[in-house]
Amino acid sequence: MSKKRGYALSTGAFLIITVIVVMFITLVPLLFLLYQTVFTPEYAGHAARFTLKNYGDVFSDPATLMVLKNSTEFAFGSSILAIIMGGAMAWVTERTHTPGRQWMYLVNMVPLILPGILTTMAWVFLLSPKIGLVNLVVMKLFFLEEAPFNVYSMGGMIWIQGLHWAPFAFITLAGTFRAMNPDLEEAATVSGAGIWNSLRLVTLPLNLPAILSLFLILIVRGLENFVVPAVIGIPAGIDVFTSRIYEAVTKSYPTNLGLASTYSVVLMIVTGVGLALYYMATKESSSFATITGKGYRARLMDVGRWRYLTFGIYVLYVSLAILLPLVILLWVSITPYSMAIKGANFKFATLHNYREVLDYPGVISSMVNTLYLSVVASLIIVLLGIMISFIVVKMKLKGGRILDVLGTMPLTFPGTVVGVALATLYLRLPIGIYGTAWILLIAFVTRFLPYGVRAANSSLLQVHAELEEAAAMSGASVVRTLIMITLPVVLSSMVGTFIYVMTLVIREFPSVILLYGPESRVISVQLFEMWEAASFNQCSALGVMMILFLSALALLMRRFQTKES
Amino acid sequence: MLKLVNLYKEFKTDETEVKAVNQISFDVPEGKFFTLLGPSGCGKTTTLRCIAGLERPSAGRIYIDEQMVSGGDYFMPPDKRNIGMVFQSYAIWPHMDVFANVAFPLRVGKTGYSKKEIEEKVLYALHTVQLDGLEKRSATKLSGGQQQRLALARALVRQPKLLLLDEPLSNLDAALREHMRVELRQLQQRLGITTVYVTHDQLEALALSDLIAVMHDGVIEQLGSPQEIYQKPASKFIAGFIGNTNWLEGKVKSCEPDKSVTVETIMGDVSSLVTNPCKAGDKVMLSIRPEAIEVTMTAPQNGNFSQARVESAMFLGEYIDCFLRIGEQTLRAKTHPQLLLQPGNQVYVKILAEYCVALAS
Repeated sequence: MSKKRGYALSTGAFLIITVIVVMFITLVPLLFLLYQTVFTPEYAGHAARFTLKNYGDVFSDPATLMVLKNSTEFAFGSSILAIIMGGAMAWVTERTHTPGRQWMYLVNMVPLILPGILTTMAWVFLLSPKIGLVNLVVMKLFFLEEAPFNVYSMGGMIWIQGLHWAPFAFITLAGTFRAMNPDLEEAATVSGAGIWNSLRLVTLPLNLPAILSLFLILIVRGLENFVVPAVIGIPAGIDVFTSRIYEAVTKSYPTNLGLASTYSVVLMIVTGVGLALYYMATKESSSFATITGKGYRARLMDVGRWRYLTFGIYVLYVSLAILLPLVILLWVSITPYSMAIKGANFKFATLHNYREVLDYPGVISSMVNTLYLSVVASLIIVLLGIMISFIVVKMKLKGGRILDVLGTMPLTFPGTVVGVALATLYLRLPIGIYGTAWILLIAFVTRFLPYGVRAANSSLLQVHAELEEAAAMSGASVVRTLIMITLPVVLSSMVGTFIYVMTLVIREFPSVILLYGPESRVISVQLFEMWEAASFNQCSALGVMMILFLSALALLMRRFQTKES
Repeated sequence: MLKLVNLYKEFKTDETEVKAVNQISFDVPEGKFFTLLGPSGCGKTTTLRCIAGLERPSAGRIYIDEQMVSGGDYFMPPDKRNIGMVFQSYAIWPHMDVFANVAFPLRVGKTGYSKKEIEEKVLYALHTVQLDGLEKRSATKLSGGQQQRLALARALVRQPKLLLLDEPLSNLDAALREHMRVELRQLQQRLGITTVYVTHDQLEALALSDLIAVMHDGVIEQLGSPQEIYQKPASKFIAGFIGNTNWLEGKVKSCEPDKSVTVETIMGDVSSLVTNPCKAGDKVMLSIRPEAIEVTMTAPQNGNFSQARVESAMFLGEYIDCFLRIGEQTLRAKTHPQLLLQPGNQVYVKILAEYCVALAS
């Protein structure tokens, strides 16, 4: 009897602790954000006053309309571009005989290894009107006076973001195409439709729900992106929600957290609507379910002569999204100052930048901080994820569902908003963690907790069923089995997730740029500062080192993932 | 009408080459119902898809209505072949209604049909398969049987010269399958359309076809009418695959010129048919169909007979399915339902020569 009570007490405590921690991470910052929107800035001598002025400012300011327009244009444009590129690759991979198909899935690794901030910088090196290498080459070839491409434009922003999200579109659409009954396209072919007609009249309409859902998700990602607006948008004078928030926090004195919060709330409403539409759309698509549970043997269309063209699509994407940025980053990192890529200039190649960068003030400490924070944050996320998942999956309490929702809710928080929310919260609380590594840690955990929860959910669900039955049959106590068997198994299956979350933390930018302090600098902040200081060559050297490190992590992750499945 | 010459198709995977279709040749006369019958993996579907143009043969030639559609370097793509095809999954387009599904071939082809012509042809096709009145229905709201008819209507709307069917009845329940079998055959005969049908169901093949090609491991083991295939199987595989059969070991005693043979077995001397040349002393397996065994409670007047013990007897309404034991051998027989057989009964067993076939061992 007392054993049972002990069990009940300890699980009760466990439950309460988990719930408190999760609520504190996810819900509380949001509430403070809302709270902050109705206060004026606080600075020396003036306490914050309740006001609705912030909302008034935001909604009456004509700049807001411009911000809305820019954000929408950026989000829509990049989504469409990503879908076109990703969709073309998906169709070629899943539906045709084009050679080299199996390698295309590696393209999914690209956003993992090439952080947005580095690819954006690379495209500036390529397409900047003054120093862009592509511009220089084209100008020379065609005897132009002015640079034909200007990356500091909406077009440039859309281009970079679209390229960056094409792999995501590819993976999603490839999955949809794979699940589609190939008979439907073959029936069209046999009925007399050529490749184009079959695509237009059968493939596209059938996949429209999936494409629309993808479109919505990409729009949300575009709205919450800050890297491209920071590196390109601000210098170009193109403001979006996220850059507005950033400026309200960092560029106004006193720090106008009220305005920043208000913009954040508006942004969250817009993305919230997008996500709501997404969930509604994915429910609708079941009426077109071409997935009947039968495994379809892949039936590929023989595109005959066209396979050179379709192979060309691969080549095009890989060159644009991977090769060009990598090459240019490498080049800039090994040259002492900006110069064109040509044979004559190779003699200037040097590793000097790499040595210099390590001497650069703050670089080593930012590397150390990044590593330390990524490991610790990832650990916390994995453990917390397991705890939450355990409660939700194992203890089927009514509150369990809510915990699951809370745990995955941060997926809907734009990074910038997390930054603002945490800033407002911890400025108010008497704990002096603002500007320290602790607040960054909290930001990482808030941002990426959902990944831990989802991974833990799937692994617990798999492990859970068989083990519970085996335990019951063997007579071992349930708790014993759980601690001695379930936990180790789940932990081993979470290694891949652990590494993945590390890469997410290392690449994170929008929240850290608002929360870092002099002692808590991380790599992405370091890169941005060097960029703003125009230390392009050292910046590239640091970037290359970051890419190498991320590649090593990615390889490690793949090893564990193939073991897990 | 349809002619295949030395069709060969191999699939290369990382480890091996699979010879899916290995030198297949046959002719299908106009208006005939031709079935490719065989177990999974025998190459029948691949052959059909080569005819349709959905697979590109590795070698060999295919002629449809005297015109070569595939051979050497030449390959006519499937959308140009003007064939009607019904897929195993029906492949009905869920985003179109019934009318649009059937009208599709008319709308995408080179020939421009007027709206009126399209309407006429579609309604006629729907009428042919007895789906009148359902034009506006969404294709997803049809039953399995209706979807199958829709697929058929779509395949027939262009009045093609050739109709291909890939196991179209396998997704239907047993009662519907039997019903559709009859309808399909009647429809085909009424329209007089040359048809190639793929199935693994030997009963279907026997019921529907004018000609059957039994396939195994990528080759045609036997080509003939249903009667020929059933009564004179050319190999052990075919005898075992088509219908039930009993196997009795024996040695040839003598070969008669009228293609019958006397075989020495544990049941005594049995005369039977033979499909391949043989000589005395050859070891053979006798394929004895259950209906070739006469079971009586009293000894027959003439002919070779043996005594047997009833091991089990199942009353199936139309006949009794029983297992009879003679020494070491068990024979499966079908007897008249009035025969009251109980396990343990002693019965007399006579084998009817015209329903046995001696096959090389």
